[in-house]
Amino acid sequence: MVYDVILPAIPFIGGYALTYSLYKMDIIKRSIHINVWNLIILLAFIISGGAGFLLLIFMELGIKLPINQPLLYWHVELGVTLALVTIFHVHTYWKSARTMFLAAKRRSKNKT
Amino acid sequence: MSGACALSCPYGLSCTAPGQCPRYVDSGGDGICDLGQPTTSSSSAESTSYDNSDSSTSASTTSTSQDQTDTSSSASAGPVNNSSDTNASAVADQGNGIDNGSLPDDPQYFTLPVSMLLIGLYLITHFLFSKGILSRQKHRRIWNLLITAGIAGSGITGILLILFINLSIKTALNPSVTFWHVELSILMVIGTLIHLHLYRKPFRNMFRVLFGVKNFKVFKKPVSILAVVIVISMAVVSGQYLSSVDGDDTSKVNGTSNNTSTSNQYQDSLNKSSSTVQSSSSDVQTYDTTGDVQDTTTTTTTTTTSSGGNGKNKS
Repeated sequence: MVYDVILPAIPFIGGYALTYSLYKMDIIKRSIHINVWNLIILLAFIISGGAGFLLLIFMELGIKLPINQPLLYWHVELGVTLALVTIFHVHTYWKSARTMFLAAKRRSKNKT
Repeated sequence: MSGACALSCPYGLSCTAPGQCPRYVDSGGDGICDLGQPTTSSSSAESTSYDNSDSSTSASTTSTSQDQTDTSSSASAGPVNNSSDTNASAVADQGNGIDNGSLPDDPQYFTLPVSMLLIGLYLITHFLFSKGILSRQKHRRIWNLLITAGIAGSGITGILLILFINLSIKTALNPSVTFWHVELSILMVIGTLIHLHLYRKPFRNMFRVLFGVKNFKVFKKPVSILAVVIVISMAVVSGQYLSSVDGDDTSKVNGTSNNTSTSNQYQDSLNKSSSTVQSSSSDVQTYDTTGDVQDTTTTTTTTTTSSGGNGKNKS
């Protein structure tokens, strides 16, 4: 089985571009744009992380179920989505995320 | 044999090329993962074991030299093929699975220690923050950095694994990449839960903005949200699984589920054949014919494999 990487990513890239442009055109509020993508990243995290965690537990306990195959598939596909939406998340909170990497002194220097 | 090989695939799958995980091994070139194959081969062996047991029994009862020669020649074809040919066989696959050392049957991941370590670290930093020793900004910064490291590491290793699987790249790095993917994913999951706790006010605000939920009595406990989402996701996953059962997955699922039972039947048939031979011949012959039965079944498996791997699941 070959995993699709680009195909599942296209709707999310298009969706983010759409909501971002709607927000830039003042059609929707910034809070809606942000919270929609926060909800999407939450759902992607729960499904991908939950499936991965279940697979890990099944593997450690030696449990082999027929549902392992779809779990592994959806873990990978939503993991790709999660990685992509995480980039959007960092982009959304770029101002606060940038301060994470910069030292406080440097930030204060830049302000002055 | 089957008992050891049944533990080969940690997911209990029998994948077709290029496989579903980086553990995919196909030394025989039949397009089916060797780690999931021994149970399948045992099922094919089970169908032929009765013939072999019959031949061994007849060889022992008639005790003519010609019959013994025929039985031994057909049985010795197994090891000869295994040693000389590069074709797949159950014995060769088992050897690859065990002797390589690169594919451990039971990989050890430090799930609990890493989780406990992270939770303990968070408790410490939270205690320091509540005592005023650590500022809110530094507290959040530490955990944002950790979650960034977790997500970046998990994402990069995950994309590497997808590339390895899709392009069928086999390197010595595969097991270590898988290991670090799991460990960094644990960091990501625990870090995300901590992230949700750190930013719990904006998190609650999200539901208010999107769904207009002003009264958070229902969402007072985060467990209830988690439970609802888990139920929905499980329903989606199970629905997807049920829809895929009608297709190609039916044979795989049935193959894996039946093979566990057929492996037991195979063991029973072996016991029956050995007991039959024991009653009719000497101990030495009993030992040899039991071994011959196993070797003959592996030879039959080799023939089936070379003729077409897809037919195995049907049996």
